[in-house]
Amino acid sequence: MLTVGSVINGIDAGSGSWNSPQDICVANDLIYISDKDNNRIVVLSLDYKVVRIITTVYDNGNESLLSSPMGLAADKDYLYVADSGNARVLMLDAQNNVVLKLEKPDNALFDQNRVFQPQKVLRDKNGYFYVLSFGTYEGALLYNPDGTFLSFFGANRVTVTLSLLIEKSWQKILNKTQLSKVAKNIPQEYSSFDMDVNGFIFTCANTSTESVAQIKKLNPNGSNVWSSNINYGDNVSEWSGGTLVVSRFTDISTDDMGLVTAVDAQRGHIFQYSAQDGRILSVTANNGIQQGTFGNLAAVDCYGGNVYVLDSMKGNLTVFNPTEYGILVRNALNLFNDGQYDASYDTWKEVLKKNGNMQIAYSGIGKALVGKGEYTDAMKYFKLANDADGYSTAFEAERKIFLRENFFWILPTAVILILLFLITGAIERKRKVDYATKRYNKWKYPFYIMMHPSNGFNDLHWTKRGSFTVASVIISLWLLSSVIKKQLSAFMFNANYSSKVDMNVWTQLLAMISLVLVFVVINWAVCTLFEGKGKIKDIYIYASYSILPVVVSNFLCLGLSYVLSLGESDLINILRVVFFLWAAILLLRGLSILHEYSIKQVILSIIATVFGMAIVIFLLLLVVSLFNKVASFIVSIINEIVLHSQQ
Amino acid sequence: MKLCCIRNNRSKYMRKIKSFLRQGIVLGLAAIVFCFSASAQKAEPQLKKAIDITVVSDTEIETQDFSLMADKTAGSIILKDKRTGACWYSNPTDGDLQTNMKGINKMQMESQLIVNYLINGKTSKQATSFASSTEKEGIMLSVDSNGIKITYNFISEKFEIPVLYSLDEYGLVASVLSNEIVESGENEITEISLLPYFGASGVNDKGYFLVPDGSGSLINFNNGKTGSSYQQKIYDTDGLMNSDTNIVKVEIAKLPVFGIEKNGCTLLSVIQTGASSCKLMSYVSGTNGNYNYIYPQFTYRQSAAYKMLSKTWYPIEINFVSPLSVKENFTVRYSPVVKKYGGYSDMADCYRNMLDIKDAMGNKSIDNVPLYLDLYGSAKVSDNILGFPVMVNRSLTSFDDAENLLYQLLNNGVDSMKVRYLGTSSMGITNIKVPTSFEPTSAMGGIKGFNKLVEFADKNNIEIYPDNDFIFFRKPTFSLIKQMDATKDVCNKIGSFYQYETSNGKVKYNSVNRYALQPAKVECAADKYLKSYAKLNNKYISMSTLGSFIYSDFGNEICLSNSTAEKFTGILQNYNENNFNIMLEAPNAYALPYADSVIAAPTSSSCFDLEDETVPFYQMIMHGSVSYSVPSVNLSDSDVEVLKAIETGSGLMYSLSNADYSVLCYDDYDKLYSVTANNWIDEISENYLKVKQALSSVTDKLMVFHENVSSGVSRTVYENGVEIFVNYNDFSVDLSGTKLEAKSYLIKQGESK
Repeated sequence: MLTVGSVINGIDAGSGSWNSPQDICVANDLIYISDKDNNRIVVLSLDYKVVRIITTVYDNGNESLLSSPMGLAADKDYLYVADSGNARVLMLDAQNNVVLKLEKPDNALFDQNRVFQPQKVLRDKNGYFYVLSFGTYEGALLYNPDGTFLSFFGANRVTVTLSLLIEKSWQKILNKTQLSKVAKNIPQEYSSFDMDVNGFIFTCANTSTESVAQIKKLNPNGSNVWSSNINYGDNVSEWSGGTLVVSRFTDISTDDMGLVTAVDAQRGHIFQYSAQDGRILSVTANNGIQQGTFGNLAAVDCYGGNVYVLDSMKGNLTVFNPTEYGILVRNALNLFNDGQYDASYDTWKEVLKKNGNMQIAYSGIGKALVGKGEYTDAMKYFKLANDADGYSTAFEAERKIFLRENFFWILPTAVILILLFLITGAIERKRKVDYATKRYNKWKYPFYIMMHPSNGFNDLHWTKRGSFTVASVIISLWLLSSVIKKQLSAFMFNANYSSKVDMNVWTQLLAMISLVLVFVVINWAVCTLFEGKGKIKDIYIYASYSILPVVVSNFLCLGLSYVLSLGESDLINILRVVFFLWAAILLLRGLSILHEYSIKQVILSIIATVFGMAIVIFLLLLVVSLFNKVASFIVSIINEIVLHSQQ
Repeated sequence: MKLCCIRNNRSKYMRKIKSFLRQGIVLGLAAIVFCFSASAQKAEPQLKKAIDITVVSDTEIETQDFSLMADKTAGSIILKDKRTGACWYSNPTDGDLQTNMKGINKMQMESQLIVNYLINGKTSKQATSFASSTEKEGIMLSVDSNGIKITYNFISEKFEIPVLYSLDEYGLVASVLSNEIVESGENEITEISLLPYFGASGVNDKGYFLVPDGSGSLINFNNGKTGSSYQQKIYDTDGLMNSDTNIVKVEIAKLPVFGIEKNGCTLLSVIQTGASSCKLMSYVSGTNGNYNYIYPQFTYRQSAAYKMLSKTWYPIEINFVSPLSVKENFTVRYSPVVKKYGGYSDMADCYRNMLDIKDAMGNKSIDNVPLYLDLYGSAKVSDNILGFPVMVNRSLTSFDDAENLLYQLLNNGVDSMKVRYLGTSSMGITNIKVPTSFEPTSAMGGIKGFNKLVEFADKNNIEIYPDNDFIFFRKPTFSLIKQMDATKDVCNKIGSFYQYETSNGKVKYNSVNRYALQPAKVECAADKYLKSYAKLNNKYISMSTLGSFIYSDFGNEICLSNSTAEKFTGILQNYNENNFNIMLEAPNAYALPYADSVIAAPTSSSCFDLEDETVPFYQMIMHGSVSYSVPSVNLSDSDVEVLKAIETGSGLMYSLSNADYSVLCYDDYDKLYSVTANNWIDEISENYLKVKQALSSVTDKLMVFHENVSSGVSRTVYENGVEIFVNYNDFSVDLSGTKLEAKSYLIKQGESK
């Protein structure tokens, strides 16, 4: 979405080279750069020529030098400087006169032992100041418009982890001296922030450990509006020397076009998000030795559609211009976020022409098509966008139309079907008594058991009519139905649609079959110990017969997935649970009859079985991993021998 | 890993046994090969005019245009251009700046050779000819009509490197005589840098270096970018030396040249032999002292570090050194250029004359600017049939689709097209096997469909180039296992070409690696293919990787990259002799003479930090002799590729697939994110007509001058005096009275400069 426009260093600009520049701020058609190690602020015009250089400010007429200036902000009249070396934040007018000075708060809220080293500064519409100070993890320091300290704003919270909980429990046991030696868990401090036109404050964290919620959108109350369990950085797991390498955000900037830009010093990436919901839109650039690549990304600011990026190591400024594609995405997104789906249709089409990978574009077109009433096409696009919610909306509308148009034959058919069902049910019930004994059919019998567990299993037990073939067929049906359900369920109920192609049926089948086998074997072993009567073959048959409700539910859910929308998915879930419980009851009843156990005994035996299964699976995994370790050890030894012999 | 290492071990012993058996055959073959290569070598110099060298004194020789003086004790040389009087020194001579240099910088500045060597194959060290030879009186000098031969005897390091300084019609020819290098003791030479400070410029000099990075780039003297350097391997790093991290998207140095423009004097340096083992290095003043300098560094012996994981998870490196050193001489020709237009335009002119592409191309005239198209034939996509994962070949653009597409473009006014057809076989666009015959799938339309398409194309001034990649493969073609087909690197392990994560540049976990076919087998595959393809009546063929990719093979029969390049040019020559018109993708200098069309010639440099300006040097060499295009417009990150085409005199190029991209979106084809043909037809025709209109009067003319007038404004001048100005800025600019609108171009049919 961005392309390198110009690369300017201090020599090009005519100010002499920049030494570890820390922040950039573009406002009023001027570029302000805090040239930290030269203790000055360089002001450039938009064609990158020096306009003025600020080294001295006038505090009540007294000259005062800047020292290690860091954060900058500017509005129409004033420039705000985090003069970190002098522990003050300055509000300067165009003649470099100090209008207001923010200093270390002499307030009980601020720990007086701590240094005040301002890093970044902001001022909102109402004149309140927000200051980030080094090492202050309580959040931003909030100052009144008159320069007095008010409170802290929007602290990052400590993430609760297991180690944290353990440490908490230590804190209750240890005394003060001991405690002081334990590293404290403090929340991540913000590395930078920026405010958008609506008064939301966007923050970012430069952390080497966290890989979630590095970026936040804080509302005026200081709470995060964006999702706080999403990784806003690179989605790769890269390990270096045993630690995970994560994105480290050093600066963030908003623009008035609904985009948020943040820079990552770890890999030199520039991330752009939609300000509305934090959806990531593009990642540009990287670390390197080319123009448009970076040594250490320090700061970013957006102005007039361009992105200005400051590199503190190379000491240069890189200006990125939006590409045609970038502008299209921005326009489309604004319409989309405004709910003007219809208007965004053409723009999304253009976006897709340039990038067929853009998911949100498919989603946008889908929504526009829903607006137009073209539900079938909409569903196609939602499918490409992998957008189940959108798909469901279109599907519901389509279903409504279908029902309305075909109402005249659907209703009578439904009535007839229900009647038929009731009649056959009544007939079956009449036959019930003699069914089990006289007209035995081994294929129908599992269904009889399903409806009448006690009678059915009892008969099975005494007459020994259990069929191995039927049991195996049921198991096969179970396997088949599970796979078919995964593959053929309607799109909205198939969360892993895009990874469907990756599904390997063999591993799935293997897992299911071994589950059954392990259960049968372990149950047999356990029950032999506890004087159960069942043989291994019988356990297999009884367990298989009990699984039948799950098979039925698989097929039922598959059918229902084509009829129901996402809002009605609870029905499917309930159905699934009910049938699962049904199967469980069948299993309990079946085993209790088979082993001649009381209900208490059978439950105990099942618990023992599950426990035994866990042990077996654990042992198996152990053996596998041990084998892997040995194998890789041997391989590396061979490697070394080969390599040394070649030298 | 496991497999290949065991095999390596075994093959090592097998090699020893086999070598006895082979010796007889090898000797016989070697004799034949030697005869051939000797005759080939003989044939080459005949093209050049013989130049008489007069020996003036025991340290000086001269020709009609140049004279060369050597210093007996310092080993330094001075080249004088008698036509202009300009002198070029191998080592700086201006007093003040020189005396300020200290330590290693001073030693390098006074040296003619800088040598990197390994002690016992482990520790790497550097020696300079000044400290090790000059100061220890190790310089030996002899003069005859071949030139001045200076042998630098590195006393303490125990090796001798002879360099022959000679003159020819273009200027100085300096040649490291690799065959006469003597090494004794445990030291092994790895790299040799030749004349590091030749033409070096001090802090007060004005000018720039030309480097062949991508389309070409300039490094201004004293630009203050002291934190960075320019280091680039000619023809890219050896394909097998790929690293585990690869994040930077760089352009490749396609031409073995560099130039110095110093205070109005121009010098063009061409690496005549040894280009494939050459790396260019350049520094500006302030980095290593007071000088801006540029020089070639030659790899005499390849070495590589093999990484093994240690207990601490940090890798330990083990060094491997190639058992074979490069046997070809490292020759650089330093040619002072007489000023005509100034700067790099003159360098281009001089280099064009040396290359003589026009001659090699048989004076084929270029009468239009064609549209280049990449068509994606078919692709392997993953599918799932009832839970069974399978790869199926899906046709993206069948021959019928292609005809349809071309017909639409024809109707829109695109009257000349060159089509590169990718993935026509069942292997799809990812080369799974190396092709040995032309076998389009039936879904594509088969041979019949292809013939029909060719017939249609012939009638309509369209050329169809089916693309073949004879180098990369995933599954072996000739042997049972890939280990037997693939090349090996210095560490004697199978050289695999990784895929990298876009986000952090690390090797993609679980991705399918590619392998490079052994150069001899590449020849074999190309021969077989030729036999199959020659049966058709299409005289066009594309060999995308063959002209732009070289590598060494350290397998059973070691083949260093220079021999690989020789083999590949042999293939191209063979196709040329069979009357095939070859399309190559941005070929390297050695393949350039065989290319009939060049697709995707880079329009930009890598923009390294040290570089200041991008110039179309590559295009200046080709224009008027070879037809070429810009990189694919619709797959480029840049919005200005059309203007770039007008600046660089290139045709446009688009990559298209008839099927919608969504067919591919679940597989590893992320790079093809915007290839759906329907979206692009109108834009293509519009831009084609724009470029055609701009370039119609200059298609067969030489590009004699180019300059970047101001930021974002360029000027290109052709031999017929036509000037084309291009403005890339968002605002209009004033060109001495004429207004040039934002993002547009202007043609002046003017008096020639």
